[in-house]
Amino acid sequence: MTAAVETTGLGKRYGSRWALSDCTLAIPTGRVVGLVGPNGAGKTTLLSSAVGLLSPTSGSITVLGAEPAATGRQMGRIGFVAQDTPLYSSLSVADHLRLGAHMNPGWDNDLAQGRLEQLDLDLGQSAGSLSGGQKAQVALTLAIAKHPELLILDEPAARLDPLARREFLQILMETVAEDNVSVVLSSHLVADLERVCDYLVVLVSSRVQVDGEIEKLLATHLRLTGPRRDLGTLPKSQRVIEASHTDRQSTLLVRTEEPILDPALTVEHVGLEELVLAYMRQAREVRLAALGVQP
Amino acid sequence: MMWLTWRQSRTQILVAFGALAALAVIALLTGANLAHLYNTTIATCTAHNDCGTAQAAFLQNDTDLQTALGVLLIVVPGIVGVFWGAPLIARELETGTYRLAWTQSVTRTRWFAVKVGLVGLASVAVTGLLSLMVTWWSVPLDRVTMNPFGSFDERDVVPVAYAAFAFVLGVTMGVLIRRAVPAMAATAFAFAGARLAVFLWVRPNLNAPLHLTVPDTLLSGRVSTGALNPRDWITSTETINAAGRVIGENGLVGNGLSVGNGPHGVTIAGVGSCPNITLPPPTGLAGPSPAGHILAQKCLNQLGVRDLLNYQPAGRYWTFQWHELTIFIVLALLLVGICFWWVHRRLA
Repeated sequence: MTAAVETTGLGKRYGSRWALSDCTLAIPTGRVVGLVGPNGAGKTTLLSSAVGLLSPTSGSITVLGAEPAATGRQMGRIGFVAQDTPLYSSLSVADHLRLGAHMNPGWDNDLAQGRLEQLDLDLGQSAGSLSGGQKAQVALTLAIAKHPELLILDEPAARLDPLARREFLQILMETVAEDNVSVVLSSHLVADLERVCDYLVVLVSSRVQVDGEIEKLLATHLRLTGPRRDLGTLPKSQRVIEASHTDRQSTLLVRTEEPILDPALTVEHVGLEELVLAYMRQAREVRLAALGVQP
Repeated sequence: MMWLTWRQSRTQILVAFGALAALAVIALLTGANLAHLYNTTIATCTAHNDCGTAQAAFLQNDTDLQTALGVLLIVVPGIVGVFWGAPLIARELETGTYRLAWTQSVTRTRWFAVKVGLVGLASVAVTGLLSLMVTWWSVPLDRVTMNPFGSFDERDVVPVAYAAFAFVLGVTMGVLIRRAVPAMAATAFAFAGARLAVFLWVRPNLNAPLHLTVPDTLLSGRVSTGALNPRDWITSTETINAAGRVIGENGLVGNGLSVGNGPHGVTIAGVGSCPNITLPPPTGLAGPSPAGHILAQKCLNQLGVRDLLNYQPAGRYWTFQWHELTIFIVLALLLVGICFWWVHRRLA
């Protein structure tokens, strides 16, 4: 099966600054993939490269097995909602639908119109007068109505208030369920991703820290609390992501496929947010260590 | 893509063509009147032997409109470049909408070609029609003024090339600067600069000028055009002495012409003296009297001072039009290439 997005050593440089460097990853199709990472991790650069807005300085990227944006046909296979969901402010909502119809051979006008009517959007209204939530909805409609195989969304909900964000994601979820489309969605809000995604990629400084099905990630990451102990005494099958110690007690976040048998340990499952934060902190410590800074 | 470009620019294009239509009505009415006046006064003036007065009177018709149309044709290409060219892509880059446009099922090449092609065509069409209109309107006036090079940039085909160049220059500035307003300012300056540079330094040298030597008329304050056709374009004059050495340019000699009575009659600094001529007083600071001017001029001519006229014959008018058209079209094509490359490589 071809990957939705696959990169090998992908790098993008602006002047002397690398926005993304040596990034190698594979994001599967048939899933709703959450791409999460701190600001500056390279999420936007990665997704912009995937839709052909940016061309890489080094390395390579394929989307659904082909070069991004090489042909109009390839562009028709991918729907994209850009950060801040830009629209032409002087054009009406109806004009945006016409734009979509004229620029996409696979355009489904009934779908687009139906969606916007469901949202109680006045089609005659100019896009400049829409609220942030409505704008995001129009942008999403444009991306969906071309019937893409893959939908890529770059922080579509970042600027929305919590209510609008929840609504937006709700509608996104319904669409995905109906259309059977693969989705890659970036965000730095783990709670949002948890609500809609079934697969997670944690990206920090161009590196994938962890990726996999969310259910499986949650099942295999455990917090262990017990008497203070040396990390070297843990079984090989347990990989420590994070450890903190008090005088008498240790708390560890470990990844393990096997059950914890040690009766001295209290075992707890962790939430997705905690898991992601642990990986981000780990990445930061590794980077600081590489720079010679003691944590 | 065609639809989007049309939707985005239809207001400005329709306004431009509307204004053009209104102007056409004015031009038709006044133009018909001018043609009629020409036929009744100028065409018959030789019979009445009063051509001087008739021509002067004829040129007084519609002077405001003459000026307005001339200025319009000079500024319209600039306006097209500043208001149509510069924001064309800059606005998309500035507001981020390029991310919407470039992720529909239309390649960037097509997007660029349609956008620049359609609005560019409108720019050229508007300017071309305006030039056609003004050229037609001015035919009777131009016949009287007999100076086709004087209104060179306001007639015939060159305005079209100016518009094409200005438009593409605007697009390029927009792509490079990525912000509409600064790009508009840069376009205005760059276009004015390019036009001025071509006007001052390129146009006079497009074709080697012809030369004609005529008796000097330095002191009369006017250049004698000798046997030249009044429609010819005199690009420069040189004053030369008997030995053929250039002693002055464009009606001026070195440090000005110092004339006075010397021991050997009238003496002209840097030129020589004429023992047989003496200036009547006063010959002080104010220079020779009007009668003295005539005598000094006589001396200059006696010393063999002549004027060399460098000129472009009127017959070359269309050669110049086509040459200047070519220059600006080639520049425009060059800029389109740069722009295309920049949009594909640098904005990615």
